Amino acid sequence: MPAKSASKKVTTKKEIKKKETKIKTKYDIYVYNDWCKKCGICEAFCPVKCLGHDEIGQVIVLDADACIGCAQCEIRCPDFAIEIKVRE
Amino acid sequence: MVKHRDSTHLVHQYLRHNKKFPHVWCPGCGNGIVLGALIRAIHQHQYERDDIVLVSGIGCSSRMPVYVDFNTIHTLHGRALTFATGIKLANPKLKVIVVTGDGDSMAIGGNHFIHAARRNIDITTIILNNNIYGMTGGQSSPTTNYGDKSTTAPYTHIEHAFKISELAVTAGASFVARGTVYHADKLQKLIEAALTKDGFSVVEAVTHCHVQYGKLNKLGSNVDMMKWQKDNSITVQKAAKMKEEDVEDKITMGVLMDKPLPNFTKEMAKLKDRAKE
Ligand SMILES: Cc1ncc(C[n+]2csc(CCOP(=O)(O)OP(=O)(O)O)c2C)c(N)n1
Ligand code: SF4
Ligand code: SF4
Ligand code: SF4
Repeated sequence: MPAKSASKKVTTKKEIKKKETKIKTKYDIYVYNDWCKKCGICEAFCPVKCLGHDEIGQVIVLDADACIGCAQCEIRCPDFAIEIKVRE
Repeated sequence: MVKHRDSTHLVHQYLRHNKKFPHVWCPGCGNGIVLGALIRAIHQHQYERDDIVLVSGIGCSSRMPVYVDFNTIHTLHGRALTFATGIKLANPKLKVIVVTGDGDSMAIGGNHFIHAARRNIDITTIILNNNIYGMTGGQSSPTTNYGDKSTTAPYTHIEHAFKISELAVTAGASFVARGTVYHADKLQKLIEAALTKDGFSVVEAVTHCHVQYGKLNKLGSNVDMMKWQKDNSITVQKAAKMKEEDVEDKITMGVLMDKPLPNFTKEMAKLKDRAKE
């Protein structure tokens, strides 16, 4: 199918956009331990399960690279103790 | 538009950092989630801080105004709406918001609530419904469910619960909505909508007191109780298509009433003019 393979070489605008969005924004996760009460809400409802906790319940970041920056943890943290920032 | 990602940063800008933090609420209590949603909603409208008056009664939930940098007043148990009514009538330009618990607003303050709704005074009331008296040790409240336990109903509660939002509709409030702390973003949107309404606007925020209600009724942790909210909430639209008995145990979420009605504050101004003529 020569016609088809020829047209394949042309990168459409849509394809460029797709490529661009593929480069995932990375985030850093900060937990303010003097405010955090170790309630487990952020960990429980993180859609990509990138948070965990240690033996005393302190929040630990399991995989910051997996964080999608949805900030569901920020809006549900009852103690305003977790913050997500775009990685510079 | 505030991105959720800036939420913590934003909330901190409104907190009174000279107060004792972390706040008094138990680890995982939903009260803090409602406070976050309220701050974001107020911020979204770009209200001047000095134009906001946050009024509360007594209870865990009623401690909320203490922590935020608006005009705030922490009043008497059940009487938040009476103070708020006075404030609004004395200075109608102020944006008056009441924060109250199910005990505060439905038991001792129940009468004030229905009459504020009937008058349709321009006040936004946010009711944190955790089905119990949290602060004083887990006594039954008017929203404790039939068959559940409390410290005053160790052999289970034999009374039936008020449905706060439905009661507000019947009493004449012009805007009524229900949300949950699990759905914190939707809760924010509902509060945002309530704040723009010209009349008595009510947002019932379904929350959890895992420390009292949860423990007495074996409902699990704060996370378990939030999962319950997630799994048992349906939209008002969906509920309308369901059989009444199927809706009974669900949290009906969304706007239950949105109808412009003559508002008391404006009627009062007109009345004053009439009296002067
Ligand atoms: C006149 C009066 N009666 C009783 C009390 C005791 N009291 C304090 S808070 C409270 C109930 C609080 O319940 P609720 O409003 O549901 O708030 P929550 O603590 O659950 O957030 C009671 C009965 C009081 N402070 N003042
Ligand atoms: S921003 Fe979203 S993905 Fe990242 S830690 Fe918070 S909840 Fe998880
Ligand atoms: S939700 Fe907030 S208080 Fe709870 S564990 Fe996470 S950071 Fe700590
Ligand atoms: S007693 Fe219940 S309502 Fe009060 S702070 Fe603790 S969890 Fe929240």
